[in-house]
Amino acid sequence: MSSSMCRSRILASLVAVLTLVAVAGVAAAPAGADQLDDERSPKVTVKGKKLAASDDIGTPDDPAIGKTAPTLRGRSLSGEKLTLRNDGTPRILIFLSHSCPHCQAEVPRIVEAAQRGELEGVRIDTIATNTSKRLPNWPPSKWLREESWPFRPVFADDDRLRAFFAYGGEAFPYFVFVDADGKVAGRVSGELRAGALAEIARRLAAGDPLFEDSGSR
Amino acid sequence: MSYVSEANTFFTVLTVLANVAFVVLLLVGLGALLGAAPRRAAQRLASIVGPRASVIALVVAAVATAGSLYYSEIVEYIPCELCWYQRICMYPLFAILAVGVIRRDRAVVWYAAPFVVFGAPVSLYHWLVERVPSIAESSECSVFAPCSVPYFEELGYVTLAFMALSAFLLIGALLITSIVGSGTPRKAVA
Repeated sequence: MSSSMCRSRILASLVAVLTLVAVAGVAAAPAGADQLDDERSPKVTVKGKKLAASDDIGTPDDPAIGKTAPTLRGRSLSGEKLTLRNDGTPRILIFLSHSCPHCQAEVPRIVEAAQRGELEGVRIDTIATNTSKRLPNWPPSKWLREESWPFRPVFADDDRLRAFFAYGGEAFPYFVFVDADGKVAGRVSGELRAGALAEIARRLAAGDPLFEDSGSR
Repeated sequence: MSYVSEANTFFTVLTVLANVAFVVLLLVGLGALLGAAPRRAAQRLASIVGPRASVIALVVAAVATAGSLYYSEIVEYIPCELCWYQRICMYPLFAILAVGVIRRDRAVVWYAAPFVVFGAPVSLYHWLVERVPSIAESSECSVFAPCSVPYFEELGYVTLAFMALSAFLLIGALLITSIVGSGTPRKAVA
């Protein structure tokens, strides 16, 4: 065997090995996955009209009631592309900040409600917002994993909190209730009283208004 | 580079030193109430620290003010509402003590005292809110710098609010020592 043939075979083998490694690498990575070092989407895009912040959040006078919930496009905490949109299912969007003690107190209660089956019939969309390495209890993925948070994937808000502000948020935890038509049925911020989320989920799933006097909306 | 971690350690060490100094002054002061011998020891300590107490208090206020500005302007921690109340008390304290020290005005104690009297309880309340958020009759965290979320916590209890509390307490103890160690304060003749 000539030395040039030997070199060619070695070169061909090397190319084959490199190709195999490259193919294996691409196959191993989840589709669209792009690890987020800071667990924030590079940029959240909002499709649809943003909901205004209001002092009437939590009341039947909330101006967002009856408005179409905007679509959010970004990444999940694990880096996959993720879109939160209306799809005919009643939804509860829950905005959580890992550093907020009220979110930390609320999460176990929601987990328990889910385990009791009280949130059946609605889809829970979780948005990790106000995420920062500088703040306590980072990263949110670890926190939610430790709390056995059952609702995955978790949407990662960006550094400008575009998702949070698109829904008119001002404080955490923040809940936005969306009916099957994609219209906002109510919003509330802060820890909820015991059983409130289950009751809201039941009404949403049944298509009932959340406020007794908002049926005409 | 803002050297946040190093700054946290530095200010935590100063905070612990301030706590030790405060406890020593407190114990000596309380001891003076118990008998003649502890009272003599307290008077000796007051005679040593008293004449310098205003200067030491000024240094404490200066460090607290510098630290506050460092965290807000360089590290860019947004001060929460309670942080602002503490700033309102600490910043003038530095200015008043500085003028008092420069003019050798022993009556500066009385001008500075109200800022300590208002500042220390606010710091204590803020620190307690950080420990037990439900104290602050709110069930939510404002997106704009919530008071219940400390930016950092060292040794399991030292936060910015605790640092401010330590500074206020030490300044207060020094002002009292200044009165005891220097006799009745009166305005110096310029």
